[in-house]
Amino acid sequence: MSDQPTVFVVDDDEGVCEAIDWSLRQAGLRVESFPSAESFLSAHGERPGCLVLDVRMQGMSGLDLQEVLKARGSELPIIFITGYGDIPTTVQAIKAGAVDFVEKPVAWDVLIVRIREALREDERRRSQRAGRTEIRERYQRLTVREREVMELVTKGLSNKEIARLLEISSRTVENHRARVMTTMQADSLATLCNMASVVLS
Amino acid sequence: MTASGIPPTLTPLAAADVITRLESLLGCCDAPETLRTQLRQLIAEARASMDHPPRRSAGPAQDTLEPPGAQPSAPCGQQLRALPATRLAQCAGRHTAGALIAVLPHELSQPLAAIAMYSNVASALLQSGTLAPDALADVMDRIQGQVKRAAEILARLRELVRSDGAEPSSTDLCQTLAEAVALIRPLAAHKQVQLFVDFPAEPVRLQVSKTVIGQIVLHLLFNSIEAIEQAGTAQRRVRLSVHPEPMGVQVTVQDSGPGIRPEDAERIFKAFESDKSAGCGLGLAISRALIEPLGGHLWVDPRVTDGATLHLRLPRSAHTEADQ
Repeated sequence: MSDQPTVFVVDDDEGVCEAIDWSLRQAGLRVESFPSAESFLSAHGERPGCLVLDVRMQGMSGLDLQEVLKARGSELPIIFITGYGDIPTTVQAIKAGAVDFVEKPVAWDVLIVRIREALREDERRRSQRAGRTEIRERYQRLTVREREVMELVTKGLSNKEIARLLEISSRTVENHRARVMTTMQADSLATLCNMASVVLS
Repeated sequence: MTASGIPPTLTPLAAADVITRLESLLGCCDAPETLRTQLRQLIAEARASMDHPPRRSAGPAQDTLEPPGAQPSAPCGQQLRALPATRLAQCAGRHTAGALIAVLPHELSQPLAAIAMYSNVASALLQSGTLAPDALADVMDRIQGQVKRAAEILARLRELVRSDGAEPSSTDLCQTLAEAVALIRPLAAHKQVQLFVDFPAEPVRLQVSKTVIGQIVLHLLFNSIEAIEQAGTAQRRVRLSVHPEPMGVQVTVQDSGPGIRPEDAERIFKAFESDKSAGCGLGLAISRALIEPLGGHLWVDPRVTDGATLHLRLPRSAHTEADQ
């Protein structure tokens, strides 16, 4: 399986980092570990997987890294490893979109379960993202007028209303509307509305 | 602990003042128990030296190397100097150790977390019969490595509080400072403060007490980290640097904290003048009292307004190899 996702481990404590790395490999996971947020950032790219991240680190903290990834548009699921008394930080991390957290000392079986969930989440997010990209590409193929019609249709306007608004005939609106449905590959108005929320946001 | 190390600056009045303040401190502050015990011993000793005033002799404190523009030492530093150096070293050590003990659980939790993880996984794999013999040997080695690391953390702490080692000996200054940095690094990490060191490539050998230098620098680093933590400054950096000079060696601790107001530059060296919510403000006073008998000096750089910069100057007389 060349497409096996990678579990990225970032912990500034060498001993803990090695222990997590070794433990995950025993579960048959592909692992890459990094001693700092900075080293991870320069190596990660956009590969599929999930991130196991220590909250407290020297230099760039776990929360800082989460923020940078978010700003870069990364949707890599993050599992935070937190220590005793890190509750406020954990809350902050979850609010900022972390998928999960495990407390130190980390129970192996729990971590493995969470990681598998996170990897599934990553797959889901990636296929969603791929879907969104596809929708945007189809939208690019529409003419300006077709885009106008699509916007008004998905706002709930009738063909007549659209015709009045755009000062064209209802017949022409119908034609545009049919081409929009074909080009966007939408089988219903509901599907088209979902697509509109992707391209018109 | 001999009377010969006592400089002739003690007056009964000053010691009584110290005792009163120490006693009131013991009554009201919630200092850690070790510090409390240590303070009690200090009081007893100050009492004893009051009852038996030390002989007047030419103390080494008289040839202190004052850097240009440096103010005379704070009176309380002199009172503290009245105590034997070994006792002071011990007190300073325990003072800092008390602070480090606060982060010890965190520091020890790292190797323990790793050990827990290894044994947890190994036993699960053993039960399922999927652990190869060589993998077992490998995990045992890994566990041993982490046990060794935990033992080293405890040994470093023990080294800090030991009372011997206060005698001057030929010391590699940078190595001593590196040990102090290793000791405080977990605390810095815990408080999200970055530690930078800037040492010369060549070893700097001095005839000094390893314990004294180590403890002073540890204390300065600790102060900087605490100041940054309390002020919650955005920049969280402490830099320790060593600069060999014709007249001696200068050790500088520079931080990105809130800095020290010029009017406080001398006050902070007086005992009990701490701005810290924890601690009792003895640290800098003790540090200065420890270094001045060795002909060194410790002061705040008045020119620096961006954070705090403290210099510790160790004089040429303490230099052995760079003397020529």
